[in-house]
Parts: sequence; structure tokens; C-alpha cells
Amino acid sequence: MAKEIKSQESIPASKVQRAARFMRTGVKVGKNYIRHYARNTVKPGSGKDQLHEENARDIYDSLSELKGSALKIAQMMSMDKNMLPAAYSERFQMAQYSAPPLSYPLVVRTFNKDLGKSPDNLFDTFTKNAVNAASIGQVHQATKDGKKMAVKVQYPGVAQSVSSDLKMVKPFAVNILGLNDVDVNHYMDEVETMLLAETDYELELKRSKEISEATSHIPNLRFPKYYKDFSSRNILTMDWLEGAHLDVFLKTNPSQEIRNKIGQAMWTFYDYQIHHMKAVHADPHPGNFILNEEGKLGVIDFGAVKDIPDDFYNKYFVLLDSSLLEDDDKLMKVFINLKFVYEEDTQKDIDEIFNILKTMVELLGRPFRVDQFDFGNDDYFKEIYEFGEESSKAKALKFSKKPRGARDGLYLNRTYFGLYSILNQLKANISTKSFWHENKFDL
Amino acid sequence: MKNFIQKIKKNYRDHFNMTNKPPRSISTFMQDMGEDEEAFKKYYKSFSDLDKEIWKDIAVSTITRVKAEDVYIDYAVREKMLSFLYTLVEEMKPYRAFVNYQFKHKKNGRIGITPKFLDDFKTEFMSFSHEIVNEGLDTTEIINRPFISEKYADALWVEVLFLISFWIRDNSANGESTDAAIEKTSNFAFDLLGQTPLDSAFDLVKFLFQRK
Repeated sequence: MAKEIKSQESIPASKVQRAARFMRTGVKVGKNYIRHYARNTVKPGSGKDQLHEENARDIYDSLSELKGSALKIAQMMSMDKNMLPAAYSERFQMAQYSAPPLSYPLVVRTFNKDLGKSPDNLFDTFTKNAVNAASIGQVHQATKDGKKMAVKVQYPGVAQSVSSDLKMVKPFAVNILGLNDVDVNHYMDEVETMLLAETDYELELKRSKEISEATSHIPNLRFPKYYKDFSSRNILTMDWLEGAHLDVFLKTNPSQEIRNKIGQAMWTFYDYQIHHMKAVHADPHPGNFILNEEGKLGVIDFGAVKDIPDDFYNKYFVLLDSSLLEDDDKLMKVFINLKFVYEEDTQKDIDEIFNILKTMVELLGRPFRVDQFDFGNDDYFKEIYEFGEESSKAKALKFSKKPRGARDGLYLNRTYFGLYSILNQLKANISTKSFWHENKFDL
Repeated sequence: MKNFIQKIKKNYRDHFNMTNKPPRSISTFMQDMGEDEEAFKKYYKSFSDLDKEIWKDIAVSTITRVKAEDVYIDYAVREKMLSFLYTLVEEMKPYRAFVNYQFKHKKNGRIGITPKFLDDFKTEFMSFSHEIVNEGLDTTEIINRPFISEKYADALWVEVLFLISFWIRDNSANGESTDAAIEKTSNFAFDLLGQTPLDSAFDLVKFLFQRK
């Protein structure tokens, strides 16, 4: 506690600065609403979409200046597509690619401090400017003995600023995005734990080794090799993978066959982790993957690895059992177990929440109930988004004083949303065979 | 002779590092070295003279190190300043106790007022500062403004003073807060020195005023 106060004392300027930034966003968003209403009186029905678009842009602009954890939250919200209107999430997805850069002298300094040598001495070549922004750092390209490498460098003090950034994002999330207070608190704890783990590149290196070794048998999957001698807490060096991020890759019009190949690799990769390893790379946003024209999927970020506790796994994934959809009593028992529904809720709330959840279970579990699933089917995703809109209006959820859903579920939901959304963009038609069948559940 | 001066400086610094304060007197200090006061007085009138010179050494070695880097020529002036500041922090590290003591016991506590012991340090820095400001004006990274331009180099000096005081109070792991402070103050300073909205605002107001 005492230590925390001290460190806050030593960076007052930045804290005030950041708070000011959020105020500015608040003001701008307010202004957009005024514009929206003005426009509506003149020309009714000019569309909330435009309003959302304007708000999203302002929020994004502030968040990208903030970097670090706030940027990470923007990314997370962009994952939970059904939590946000479409315009917000589109804008936020950009956060995955661009943030203002670290100065080169600071990069040199970080190298000198952590590895005792400047990048020029360590590598044969090293780009002065970042070639890519990662959420809590940036990526430089280097070569050594003819090998191309990617070097991630972290912003100084990111770990320290995680907690204070989160505190500031909270009212913002509650007021501007209209999330419910209890949910947000529930979220924040989990997010904080994961973010702190993500700032530790040594841990990431270890995790990447474990996961890549365990999943190396999956076809069409590739991982960069990591270089321990060129890595530290703040620096992570790995092979440079040739290929492109999802959006650029799709512009090259890859064939259906290639897209299926990549989609299949992605499905199996996640399925194996979640249902077999019970530990998952819980950050499937497009910036973490490099795709190439041979249909190979490269995985380049292992920051957010989530362990799935056994008892939670059993409580949660029993939901995939299709017999549950025919037996409301059993299903209710599972919801109570997961703390989606509380026994002391009013009957009206219980009914409303139960119906929403049942729809959700049916929707999200649908790929599991068939052998082959076409993620290119936009009707399915329209159903998901509509369901998202609908459930966000539900009073019992919106004004709930209790958190709904076990905290561990947060990252799993996010993982599946992210996975489905990428598979949809790939328009992949794949076998959805799952390791889930290996596991035994008691109903 | 040079070796002897080096030895004095090293012992003086070590004394701070061990006791967090200056030696009681020149004679006790020299006694510990097995020398007498006369030997000291050949080079310095007092400890204050020695303080000044140690600071000057820090500035000189910082600037030398910065300029020796291969990338230095390719740096924009913003990066040159950043590089100076990061190196300065490195150079001050062995002198932490010395710097601490000096800053905590300086006569004038206000930021922006240069304490006496920094006189020579400042001279060295100002020549560096003028150099990069002029370069920035040439490359238009820095904007020439009537009357104000002359004060640019001084503004950078204020940044240095601020950051030294910040560094002394920084308890973060590995001095990460200082790194962040250096990055942020420099961005702020050079954003102000470069083209800003205020320039176009001033230009507009001037234009409107002249048309009256």
C-alpha cells in the first residue's frame, strides 16, 4: 500500500494528463450527441450509426494517445463485439495496429539497461523506427547472421500504470458506453491480473514455448522461435514471420481452399488449448496472427494466457451438451452454478435472464453441435449481433446489482468471440470436431 | 597530476556514497587519503570548487558519449535531446548520493533557478543546447519566432533541471518513471518549439488586426 502511494506521488504529471484526456473525450462525446440531436430535429432519422461512428472516433483518438492498458481495454471491447455498437468496434479494431511510437533513444536505453548493449551492437541491422505497434510496446525489425527477427520493446512503466489506467477507464466505461457498474468491476479485476501478466515478457517467452511445443502437431500452424539471449522483461526477440495480418491478407483474395486451411488450423489450435490443455492464448485479435498464401497460420503473441481451472471448466462447458437445451430445469441448475442466475432473484428477472442465456447457449454452441460449420454464413453472425443488441437492452441485466457470470468466463467469452469473428472474416468452412468430447461432465 | 585529481574526485564521491554527506573538512578528507591540505589547495580553493568540477565532468562525459554514438548524426534534434537526457541519467548514477545531497541542500529551492554548483555544468550544456536548437531551426523542426527563439536553449535547460530533481525523487523500479518523464517532457518541449496551433492562431489574429 505504502509503495503504491509512493509510486503515484512520483508520476503526478502523467496522471493528471491522462485524466484530462478522458475529460476531453467526455466533452467531445457530449458534443457529438448534441450534434446528433440537432441533426435529428432538422432531418429526422439521420441515423444513430453516424453518431456512434463519431463517438467511436473520438474515444479511439484519446485511447490511442494513452497507450498501455487503456489501449488494451479498447482492444478488449472491440473483441466483445456484441457489447458495442458496430461503429465503435470497427474503430477500436484499428487500435490493434496503431499507437504513437517510443523514441529511438529510449529503445537504446532500454537495451542498455536490460541487456547491457545497444541494439546496433547486438544485431547486424535494427530499424530505427517501429514497424508495428503492439498494445503495450512496439515492434522493430532486426537481422542477425542473415536471419530476420522481430523485436518487441515495451513502454517504460507500463506495469505501474495498469492499475491507475483501469481506475480511469471505469467511469468512462460505465457512463459513455453504458455498461453496468457491477459488471465493469467484475471485469476490471480479471483484466488487471491478465494485463499485469502481459507486461512480463519473460513470462510470455516461457508460455510461448510451452504452448508452441504442445500444439506443434497441429497442421498448418507455425510459431516463431524466441531468442532468450536477446530478451528480457521489457524486450522480446523472436523470428520474423513472413506474411500479412488478416485485413491485408484478405485483400489478396486468397482461395476458399486456403481460407479453409487457415480457419481449420485456427479452430484446432484453440480447441486443443481450451479443451485439452485447459490453458489458452486468450487474445485472438487479428494483430496476433500472421497469415501467408500457403495457408499457414503464424501465432506471434502469447501475452494473455489464461489457465482454465478444472471446476470452472466443468461448470461452464457442460453448456455445450445439447441435451441441456431440451431440459430447462437442468439448464437452470447450470446457470445458478455459474452465478448467471441467483436463487434470490425475482421470478420476472429469472425468466428474462433465463431466456436470454438460453438463446446465447444455443447460438454460441451451434458450431459444436454439427460436424462441419460454415463461418462464412453471415446470417449466423447477424443473429449473434441482433442477440447482442437485444440483450444489452434487457432491464434485468442492465440494472443488475450483482455480477452475472463467473469471472473466469470473461476471457473465454472473449476468446470465442474473437475466434468466431476471425473465422467469419476468413469465410472459413471447417470441421468443428472438438476435443470437448474427450471430457466427462456430470449433469 | 591528472591521476591525483582523479583520485581526489573518486574518494570524494565514495565518501558521499558511504556517508550520504560531504567530508567534515578538507584536512580530514586529505588525511584519509594520506595527504595534506596543501596538496588539495593546489587545485581547488574549497569543496565548492570541486563540486562544480565534478558536475562539469558529468556534462562533458555525457555529451561526449552521446556524440560518439553512430546513430547520433542521423538523429532529429528531438532525439538528440532525448539521447542526452538518457545518457545523463546513466552518468549520474554513480554519483547518486552526491547529486542527492547537492540538490537537497541547495540554497534556492525554486525550479528554474540554477544553483551555484551547476555553473560549469550549465555552460557545457548550453553550448550543446544552442547547437541543437540551431540545427533544429535549420531543419525547421523548430520554428523561428521573434523574441522567443533566443530563449529556446534556456527552456531546454529548465527541462534538464526539472528532470534531475525528478530523478532524485524517483523510487520506481529501474528508474522507469524517469524514463517516462524524459520521454514526455521532451515530446512536450519539442511540440511547443515546433509548429503549433498557436502559431496559426497568432498569424490569423495579426492578419485580421492589420486589416482594420
